[in-house]
Amino acid sequence: MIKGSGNSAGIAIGRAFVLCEKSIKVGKEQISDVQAEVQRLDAAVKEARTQIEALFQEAVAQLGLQKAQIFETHIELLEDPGYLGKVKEKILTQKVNAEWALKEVTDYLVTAFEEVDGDIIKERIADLRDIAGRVTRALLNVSDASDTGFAEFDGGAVIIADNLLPSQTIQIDFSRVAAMATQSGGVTSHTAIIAKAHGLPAVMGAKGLLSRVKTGDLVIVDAEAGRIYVNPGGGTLAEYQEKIGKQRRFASMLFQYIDIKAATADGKRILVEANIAGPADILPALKNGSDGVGLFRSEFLYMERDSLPAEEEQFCAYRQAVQQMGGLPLVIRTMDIGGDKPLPYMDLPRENNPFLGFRAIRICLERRDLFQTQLRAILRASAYGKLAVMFPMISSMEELRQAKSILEEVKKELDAEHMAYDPNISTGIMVETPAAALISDMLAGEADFFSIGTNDLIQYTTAVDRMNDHIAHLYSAYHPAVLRQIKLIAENAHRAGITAAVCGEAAGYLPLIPVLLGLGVDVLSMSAPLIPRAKWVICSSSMEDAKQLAEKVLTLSTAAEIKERLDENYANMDLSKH
Amino acid sequence: MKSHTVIIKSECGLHARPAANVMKEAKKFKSAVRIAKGSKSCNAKSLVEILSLGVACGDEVTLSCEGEDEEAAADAVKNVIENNLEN
Repeated sequence: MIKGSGNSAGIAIGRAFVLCEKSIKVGKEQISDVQAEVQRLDAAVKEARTQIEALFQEAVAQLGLQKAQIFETHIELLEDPGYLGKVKEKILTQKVNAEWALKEVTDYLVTAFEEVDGDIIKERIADLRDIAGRVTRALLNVSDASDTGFAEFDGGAVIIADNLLPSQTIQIDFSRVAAMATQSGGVTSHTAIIAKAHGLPAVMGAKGLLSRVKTGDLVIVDAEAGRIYVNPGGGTLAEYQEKIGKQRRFASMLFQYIDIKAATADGKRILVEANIAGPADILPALKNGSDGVGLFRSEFLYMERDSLPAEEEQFCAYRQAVQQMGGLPLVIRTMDIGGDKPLPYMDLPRENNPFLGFRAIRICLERRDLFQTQLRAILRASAYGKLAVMFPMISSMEELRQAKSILEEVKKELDAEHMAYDPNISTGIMVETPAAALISDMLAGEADFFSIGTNDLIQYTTAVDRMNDHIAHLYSAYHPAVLRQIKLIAENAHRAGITAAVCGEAAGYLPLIPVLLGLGVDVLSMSAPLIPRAKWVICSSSMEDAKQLAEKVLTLSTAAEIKERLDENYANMDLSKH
Repeated sequence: MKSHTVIIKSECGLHARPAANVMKEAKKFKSAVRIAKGSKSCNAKSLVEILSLGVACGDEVTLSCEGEDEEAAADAVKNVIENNLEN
């Protein structure tokens, strides 16, 4: 058994396919015409660049823009003066051949990088080697290392490599891959990204892997426990075959829930919606059987750019999103940016305590120009489908009233300009501060819906910054103070005749879902892949049991006891189905 | 020439993203931008050079800029290093 870091994407058994880089021996030669040698290098770099650009296009088509960005990094490295600039310098000063100069500079950088700690920089090593190999092949005029022999390999392969190079993975037909295992690299590696994109189990950083496995060996990859077994004994194999059978049955059982409208056993319909960060996330949400989008984070429009997004750009993005929804509801949360996610072009003050600072609705109410632009774009898009608008970080009635009055002003402007919009657009708030929770009876009278943002609610209630490792263990969705507030918020919502949703990560904690139902939550919004499981939990619960469970856990005084009780409840639920 | 002494506060030093951000900011200017740590120094317009300088959290580095826009470059790059800004 070989240990590594698993990506928690299940277990697979397959035949090993070892991917080795065709190694090219490079020798040192003295060159007399150094200028011609530099030109030869330039031509090879140009060729490499063309190849990378083609791979980039292919990767965009196969994996989407974000995951293809690794090839952009390659182009950046090709242009980096500290890399090929150094290679040229070496050719000119030492009068050596380009291949040798490239190898020397690459080796030097790899050594320098290896001395630095951290997974992320180790990935740059894989990128450097990948590029060096590509430029060397172009210099020597040998073909790409794509002839891996994989084409003749039967399905169910376990890809084994030192660390998969981006240019290798792009040429693999992943429909015939069961799992991946690498000797180096970690959970942030290119291998991990690719495995996630294809939903494959992967174990990374398994030391000694390559010396113990050869192509054709039977391999078990347990990405849950981070273990690899090569040619396992009968006992281990049988054990894993049973686990895989269970995993398959569970997956196919969940698959059926995609098209089911989730309701408890005693008939209460619960909407299960998706949290998304941009229009590209809508299709995956719908494919997972989402009842709508409960949280559309509009921040993506503001990040990674040099100026504020104009109304027209925002309008196009929102319209495109709502049109894709096919009539299902889409809740757009207005800009939720602050000191922790600074935008250089907005000149926000640096703060010692950004989570308690100038952020989200607080910025919007001061920078009205920015807020009005976003509201205009949202309203205009509301003419194209079922849109709702939601204000983040509300902590007082004044904020809700001001935000709503700006919305009304914007509606009047649009009326005057004869622009179409939905005049009855639903206007809700995130309840994510204890202040809002405690006055939720009053807020409920003036908001059309509540959406409980548990991430911030937990953070503000427990006074714990969960990014702070020292105290992260104090951050818990199971804290009685958090559950009491959810109960209060849901009760106040229902008293005013509005719905209470949960759109924080807690909505996707499967053992917690029955309690959320029992506390009165009507809508759960979560990351798309969790939706079928959540539906299964809902359909396996009854409101009567959920209410009893909620009452029971509200009598427990510690988060640990509550968690233990809910895990136990969930385990029983799991067993009853399998 | 315009220079600043900066102490690195970013937890992961000048690696990966922080280094890429510094490189991108430096590239916006015409001046030569260099970062020195101890006796070693590097061209801040090169990601691999910044990375191989191996700057860790708490290290003191000297940023120096030389050229027509050296004042603006030194201030902008210093700001990115100190505040670990995205760009």
